[in-house]
Amino acid sequence: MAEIAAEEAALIARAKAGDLPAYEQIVECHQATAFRVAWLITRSSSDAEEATQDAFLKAYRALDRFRDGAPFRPWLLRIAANEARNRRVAESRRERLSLRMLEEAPAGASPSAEEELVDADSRRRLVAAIGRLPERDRLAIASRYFLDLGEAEMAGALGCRPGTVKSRLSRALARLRTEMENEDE
Amino acid sequence: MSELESRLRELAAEVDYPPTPPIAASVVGRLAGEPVGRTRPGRRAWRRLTTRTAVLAAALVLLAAGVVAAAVPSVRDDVLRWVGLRGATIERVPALPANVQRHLGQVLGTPTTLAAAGDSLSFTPLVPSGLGRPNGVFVGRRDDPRGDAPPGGELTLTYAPRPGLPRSRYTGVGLLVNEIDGRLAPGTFGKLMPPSSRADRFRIDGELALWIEGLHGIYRQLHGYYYKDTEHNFRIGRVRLSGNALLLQQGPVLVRLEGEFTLPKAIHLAHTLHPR
Repeated sequence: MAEIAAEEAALIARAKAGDLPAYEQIVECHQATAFRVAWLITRSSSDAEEATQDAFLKAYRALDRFRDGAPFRPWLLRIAANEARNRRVAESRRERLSLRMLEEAPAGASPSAEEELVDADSRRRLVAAIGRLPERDRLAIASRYFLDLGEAEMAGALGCRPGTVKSRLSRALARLRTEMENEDE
Repeated sequence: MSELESRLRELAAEVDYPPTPPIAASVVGRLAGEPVGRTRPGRRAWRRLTTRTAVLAAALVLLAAGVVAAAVPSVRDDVLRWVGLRGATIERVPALPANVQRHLGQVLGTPTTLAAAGDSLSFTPLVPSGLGRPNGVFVGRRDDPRGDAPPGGELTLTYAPRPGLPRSRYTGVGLLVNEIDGRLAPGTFGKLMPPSSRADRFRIDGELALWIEGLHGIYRQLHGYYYKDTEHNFRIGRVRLSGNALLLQQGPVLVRLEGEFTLPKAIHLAHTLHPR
């Protein structure tokens, strides 16, 4: 972990000196996470791509204000999330949060066909419930459980202080439970 | 960890995100030639012009000024310098003209070979590498009775569809390349952009580039394509539909790449252009 951080710090130092290939490596490291955060906000592939590109451009232009030794990703995700929020996508154009069809059952499990159907239906309902949550709740849950972001990174994506991430996540989970319960009734 | 949290963790591997586009290539393409970090106040306004909003605002201003600019060459030249690409102009329009052509038609020029094309042009042709030989090479010369070529001539290359370069609904090929001498033929390519299309200006290897995404119209401001009606309004003759297109300045040459591709792919193609 420390090696990765040191390598990233070296790349950032080179990028600050105008080394564009070094910055390209940084972009390649973080583009997937930044794009997914932007997509979770806009739910539009084209707007998420545009927001992510603009975020990397802004980050490069502001590199001289980036503190040496600080983790890059929380800072980048904050910019990417802001860029995504600046793009308002009509509800009718929004893409749905959905699950890939798994080709194989989870290893070690040998459920009956009926159990598989119930399980798949349960997962789909859970994802649909997440999709119905307000953006801040959806992003809090997806950042933590789907993208596996740390607290500082979540704070960047959510645009809040790191100290408030836990309470935001807790409230989002409570609203998700309510959403699921309402659907069951 | 609660049961709900465990279920959410299990879902992580199944979430179906859209594929991540190759963002690094386009970011680096757009940053090429820019200094890193803090900018001088005088440069900030120029930087802002590279954003989509500013380009669209510029296009709106062009629309307002377009008729007058087309009528007065010196004014038009000022507008062209401001846009940056001397071989092209863009105008924002509320809708495309009713007489727009849906297909390429017979405007490609005279068939020739890559080896012979240079003899008819005032510039050295640029060809993309990695695509093999084009399946069509055409030149337009000013003295060609079939064509409407600009001063300095025009080169058109066509490449067959292939993975990554699907067949275009408007050109019928995977990639269409147009090249003209932007110094000798300023404003040859006119672009009509309806609200559904967007433009983005940036730099590739330090040279200006303009990406137009979405359906728009393209016409040539030559030989009566642009004429004045009895109400003294300027009308545009032959306009054809165009899909996504990247225009870029490569020294004196204005290159236009058209196809059903995204910006990163277009930038990649631009990077492969080399003198024939």
